[in-house]
Amino acid sequence: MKKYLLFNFLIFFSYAQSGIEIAKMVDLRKIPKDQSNITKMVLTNSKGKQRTNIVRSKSMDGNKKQIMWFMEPKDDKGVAFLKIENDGKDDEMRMWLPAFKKVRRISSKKRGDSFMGSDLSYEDLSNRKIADHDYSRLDDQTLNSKLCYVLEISPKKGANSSYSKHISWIDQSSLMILKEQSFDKRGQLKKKKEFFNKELNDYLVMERIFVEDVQKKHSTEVTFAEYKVDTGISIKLFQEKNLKRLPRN
Amino acid sequence: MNKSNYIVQKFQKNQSIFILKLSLITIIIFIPIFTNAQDTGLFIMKKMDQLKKPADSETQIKMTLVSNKRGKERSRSRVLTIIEKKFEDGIYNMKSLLRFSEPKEVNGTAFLTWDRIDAKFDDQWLYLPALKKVKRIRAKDKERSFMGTDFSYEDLSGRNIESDSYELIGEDIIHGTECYKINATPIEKKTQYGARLIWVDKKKYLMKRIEFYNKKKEQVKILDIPEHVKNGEYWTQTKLVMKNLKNGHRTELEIIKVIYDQGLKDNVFTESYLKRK
Amino acid sequence: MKIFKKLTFFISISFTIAQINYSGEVTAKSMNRISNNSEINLPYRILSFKLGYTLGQLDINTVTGIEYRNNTSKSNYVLREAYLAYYPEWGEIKLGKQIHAWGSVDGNNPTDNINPYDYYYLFMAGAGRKIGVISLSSKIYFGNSHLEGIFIPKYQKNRFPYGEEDFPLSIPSKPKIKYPVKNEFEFGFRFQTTIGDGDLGLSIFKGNDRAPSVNAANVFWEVEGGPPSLESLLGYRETLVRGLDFVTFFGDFTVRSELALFKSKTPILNLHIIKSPLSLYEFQQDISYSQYVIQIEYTTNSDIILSGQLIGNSVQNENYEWYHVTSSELVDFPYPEFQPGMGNPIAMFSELALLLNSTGVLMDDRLELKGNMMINLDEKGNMFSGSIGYSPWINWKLESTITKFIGDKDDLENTFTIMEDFSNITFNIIYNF
Repeated sequence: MKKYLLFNFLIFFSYAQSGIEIAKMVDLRKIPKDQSNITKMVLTNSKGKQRTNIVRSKSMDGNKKQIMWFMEPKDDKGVAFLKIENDGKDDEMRMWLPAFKKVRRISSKKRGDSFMGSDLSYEDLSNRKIADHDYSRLDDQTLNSKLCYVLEISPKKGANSSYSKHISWIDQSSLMILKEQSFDKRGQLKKKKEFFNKELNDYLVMERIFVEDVQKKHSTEVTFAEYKVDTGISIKLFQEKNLKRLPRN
Repeated sequence: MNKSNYIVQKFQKNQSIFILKLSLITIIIFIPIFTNAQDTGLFIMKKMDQLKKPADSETQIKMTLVSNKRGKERSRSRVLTIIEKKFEDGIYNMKSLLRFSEPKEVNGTAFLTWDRIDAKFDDQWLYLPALKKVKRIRAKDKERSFMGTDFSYEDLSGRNIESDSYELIGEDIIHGTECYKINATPIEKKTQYGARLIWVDKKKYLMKRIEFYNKKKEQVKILDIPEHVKNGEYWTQTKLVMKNLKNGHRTELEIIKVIYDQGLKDNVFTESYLKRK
Repeated sequence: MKIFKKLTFFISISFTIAQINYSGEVTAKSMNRISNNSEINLPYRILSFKLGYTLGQLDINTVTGIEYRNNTSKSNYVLREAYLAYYPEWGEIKLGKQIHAWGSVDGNNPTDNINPYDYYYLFMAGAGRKIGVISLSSKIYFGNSHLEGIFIPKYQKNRFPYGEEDFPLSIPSKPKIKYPVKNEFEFGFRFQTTIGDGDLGLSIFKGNDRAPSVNAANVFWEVEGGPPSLESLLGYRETLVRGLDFVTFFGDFTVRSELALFKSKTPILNLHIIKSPLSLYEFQQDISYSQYVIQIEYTTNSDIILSGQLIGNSVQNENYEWYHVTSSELVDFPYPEFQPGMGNPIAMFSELALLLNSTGVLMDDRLELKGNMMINLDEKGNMFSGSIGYSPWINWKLESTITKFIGDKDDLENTFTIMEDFSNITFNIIYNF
């Protein structure tokens, strides 16, 4: 039952945020050359019912090239997705549909609001352009015994955002975002996000993301397993033909 | 002959040979004063239709199909008989049955047409005894060729005079006859043609030529009727030639014999009769 | 039995279980007429099973199925695909019985003529309605483009539901084929490249029609001076298809399109001038026809996919000749009506049709709603269908579909009128593993 997905499913999140300098600092943080993982997403509705999606994912070049294979639910198994970002042109997105034995090119522009039916919207998963937002620094706070910068981020008109503002807690030592609250256009709290990272080979990568849509009473938990970085993924992996077969690792 | 016989209140279609079918409003015989070419065009067409038509007719025709493949001309002949009858039941104004007798390969093949008064596509059936089937001709088939000839199913069906608008665009001499030249453009769009140019004999109001243009305004076919002969009260075409300009084909029809007003029965023009010998 | 041999083969070479991948689907289905609730008895795939084994750059893939009929409880096993796939640096090579897919449009592909169709599964989209062919396929990737060549040594025809009462477009009995295909070898090439924001494909395929047509006839005159009687002798025309397909994007809209030009000819029958009976006449056909599809697709903010297709097919040129074999004389028999032997099966419904569909998913993917409409534009006729799919537990789905055909009550020969009796409600229980 899968439909067409987003483009920027970021394996690790690089939110450009904080007071402009903080935002820029975060932006310049070291990122891996390539990464691979198994992403598990558990969706929980207001009645407590759960739904799980599992995707095996590989990317390189700061997520400019991404390839992913759907593992669960089982009726999606075999479906795979390739995204190639080109400078100056629209992204190229292709899906392999085993039921049709066909590679299908899809639009990178029009995508629905939520990624894979989760509480994360495409906007939530995209890089925020520093120039499209206003940053103001609020008082620092301690969160989980970590001292954080607290920023209020307001999207400008050009950002085309569905939010009126975000409040983000950024760990001062790692410059990783730990928590965020996002408010809708009416100024009401819409989403609460929590981020958990871990150290992997010199980098800090996402381990777990928890998003709660307080208005819909719905939550999503994203976990990343078998996370590997800088394994020397070849650029040749990001080719149509590889959509048809699962990689060995 | 009382001229008032020609005044008819309702629409009628031309009753001459099956090729020419134009439904016209029959009007008073005097020539009114016209102020524009369209009135004239329509008037001429109406006059053509108002020519005396028989109650029924039986015509024997020799049909020659000439094809031109890579410069080589090849011809093939058939003999067929058409019977036609005027109907006045309010739905149909004419029914006709065409049957091939020669050569033996097409012997028995028959084509039944019920000419509708309204603008809907006529009811047409093609009986192929060789394949043991009766094929109902559908509106979407109207462009297809009838039995490999240069006449399409639409060419063999009636077209209401109200379906086109007529404009007199000039005069011309065709087959040694002075003719009016009329441009007919469809109002009723369900036709394969974009326009037709019609030459009508100035004195006798007999159709002498039609040039057919498709929707892209390309000339696709020409129908020539070089000769008419007066047979008793009725004018009869003796020869018709339809040329297909796209492939160099032509179909020639030579009228061998014609018998009028025999009092043909209605039941002859039915689907069940179609399948008889 | 074949099944066991294949299973043993796989088990014996699979020392590393991790290299095996499999997936499958089990379906229980019931189909009833809307008009009188009578059951529609047609076979369906109760099990579809994919098994694959990977050994380095080599894959061995099989797709098998079990076809089942509710009323007779009879089942039969079908090996739909079994092929080796090798993935070198430059591309892919696949050898074996397999299903191919060409073209940019969804579902109705005029340029996709490699695999014959299984008409029992005509209403299924995708690979489900295709029959695998033993073939060699080789695809070379270079830059933004690729070139594929497909070679088929053994001809396969469509599977038609002969004598199947419940199949709406009934074909009474299996016709006898007098002239089976002599030149079985078929091949095709497809080149695809990226131009601007879209993909463009050019293809060519040469093969044999997948449906028979009249190639000759025995003609008798039962009554002297009476009409002739033709006994049709069937064979398969040879057809060349040239195709063009593309997908491109305009703002939020995706535009997909395909155009296929077909040229069909009666094959050379080599009927012996002296040895043939006097009643034998050869029917030579030379037909050019085309099919096209234009599709526009849009996804709304709530992830509802809307798509519209305009499908057309027309005959450009028909040339027919009947020859008397023994005298080489041209004769004047009537021409049987032309039916295409390749191309999109939807051509038998209409010459110009509009297809609209929408798909939406709700409740975290648990609920799927689909709506379809086919509007015949050359004559009266419509088809409507709507379906609800609910997934109570993961990998399970309960689906209910209603399909209604509306024809022309004044026209009994209209395809949609004939299909009216096939209007149905279908229930499916599907389990994926």
